[in-house]
Amino acid sequence: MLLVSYEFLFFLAVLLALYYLLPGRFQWPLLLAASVLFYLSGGAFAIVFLITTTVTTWFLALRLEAMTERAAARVKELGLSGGEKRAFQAAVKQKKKRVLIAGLILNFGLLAVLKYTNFFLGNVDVLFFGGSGEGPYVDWLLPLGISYYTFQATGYLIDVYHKKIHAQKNLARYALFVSFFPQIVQGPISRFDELAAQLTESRRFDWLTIRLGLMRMLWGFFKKLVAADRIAPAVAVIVQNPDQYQGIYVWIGMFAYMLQMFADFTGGIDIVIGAAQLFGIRLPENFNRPFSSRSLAEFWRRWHMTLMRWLREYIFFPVSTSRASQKLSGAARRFLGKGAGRRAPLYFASVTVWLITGIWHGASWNFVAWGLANCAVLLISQECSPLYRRFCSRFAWTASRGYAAFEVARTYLVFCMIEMFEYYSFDVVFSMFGSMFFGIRPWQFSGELAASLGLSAADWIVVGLSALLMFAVGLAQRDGRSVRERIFALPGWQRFFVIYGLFLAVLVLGVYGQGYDASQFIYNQF
Amino acid sequence: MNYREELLEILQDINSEADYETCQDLIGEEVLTSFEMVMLVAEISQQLGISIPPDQIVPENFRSVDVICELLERLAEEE
Repeated sequence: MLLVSYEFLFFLAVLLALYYLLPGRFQWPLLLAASVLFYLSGGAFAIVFLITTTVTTWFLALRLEAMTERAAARVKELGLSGGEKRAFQAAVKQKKKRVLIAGLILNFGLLAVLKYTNFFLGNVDVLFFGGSGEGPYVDWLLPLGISYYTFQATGYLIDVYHKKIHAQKNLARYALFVSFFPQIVQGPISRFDELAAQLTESRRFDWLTIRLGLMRMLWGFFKKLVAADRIAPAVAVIVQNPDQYQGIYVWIGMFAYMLQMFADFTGGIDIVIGAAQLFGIRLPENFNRPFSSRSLAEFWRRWHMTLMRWLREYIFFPVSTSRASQKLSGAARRFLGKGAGRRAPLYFASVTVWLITGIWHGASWNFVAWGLANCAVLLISQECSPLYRRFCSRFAWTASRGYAAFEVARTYLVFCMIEMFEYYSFDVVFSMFGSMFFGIRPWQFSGELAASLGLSAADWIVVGLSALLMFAVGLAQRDGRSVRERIFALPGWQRFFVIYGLFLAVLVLGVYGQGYDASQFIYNQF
Repeated sequence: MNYREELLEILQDINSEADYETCQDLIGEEVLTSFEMVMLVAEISQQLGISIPPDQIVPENFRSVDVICELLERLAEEE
């Protein structure tokens, strides 16, 4: 069931009515039943994997907590202290670590087999059979949301291991945390401590909350149907034919692609967060005006925030403090000096995280290159930061708005250029860079080639106005105040004009129609 | 043991221009980024011999120099 479908709206309406009609103690079981139904609507077999992840992480978390409690009781019983206590606790920690690693191997193993088998077979094909493409590829469907729920469930397991949270004893309550239906499709990836209690609270109908949720969903539909899906055909044509579309088309393709990705992903998240809000559940935000970032590092703090938080907490910090990192740091310090020793864990952890981020986004070497290109830019920026700070303190104009705008544009450009690695080989990327800067002829954007993009003048106008509206909303969010709350605070007719205007825009300007596959969200494919 | 002096020295080494002493929200004000946190943790491990486990690398433990000192004292005691 797509988030952008009549079935989903009908499903949501029926569920909402039932949810607020039922007594509080039946509300969360209803959400669980709805989540299972929602998941089953995407295919019955995939739920086997969701159940496997849910049951294994639930069971192992309980086991970890039992080990912790037993160890504490034993320390008390035996009256251990000092060195004896530390030795005993270290032994228990080792055992717990084995349980944790078993859970991680099982769940990430499942994800790896389902998502990366063809990538592996493709490499075997190239290495041993000359890349004929006739190798023994598999035809497995990727279970809906597997990357998202695997990350969420393993995050929970790691948190229980670190004693940050208590294990959930009730399997059904835990299953709702893993499978909660709006967010299983494309995140956000929540932490147990911020979501689980909210899911099982009983709630009364509150029109204000519902209104805010509906408005958020409407804004998501606008971004997805009016902006993302309308520009999609032009993006597909340019991206698939890089040799034909050079010069000005590289720029157009780049901006159109980023507009599509932004509208598609943030629109989808708006629908998810809005749908959860209808039930009084507040999911974590996944974006914070990413295209106002003044550096790539800032961009990655504002884009897909819950994935980056997960990677930071569960990969970046653990890898940087691992024994391997410490050994590397010690060796670098001995042979290359203090600075290298300090940097070694950072480089090691950054490369690990960006390799994972790359491969998470897609099972191909292009995504690995994309991840490493991001990593390289971030580390070079870090190394240049003392120089940059001196430059800024020397020249007062670097504090001006104009310079800030330049930095925002530069970050946008750097991000867009790195995105090219997702689609093309190195030689194509560099030839496109060359064509972008030295092969621009504005008059290229006319005639047959422009028409072949598949968008009429009216389409370009709609896309342009949608982009302007998204930009204006981004500006209005600068002070941190909710745009929706401000709209609801407007006088009656103004409020009516804004809300129904947006509603009409979605109805009239949205991309629908026969033969049109209410297109999948880009980030559903993970 | 008080680690304040050593800690300030390490921090100044990472970024000599930041005002670590008076800032009470190093993470929120982005005075200390996650990259710098990793370098700080590596340096603490090498210079002071205190290993900070990953579950302790949370914003609440790196809010200010005093808070980081408290963390180090606690970890040194546990070791």
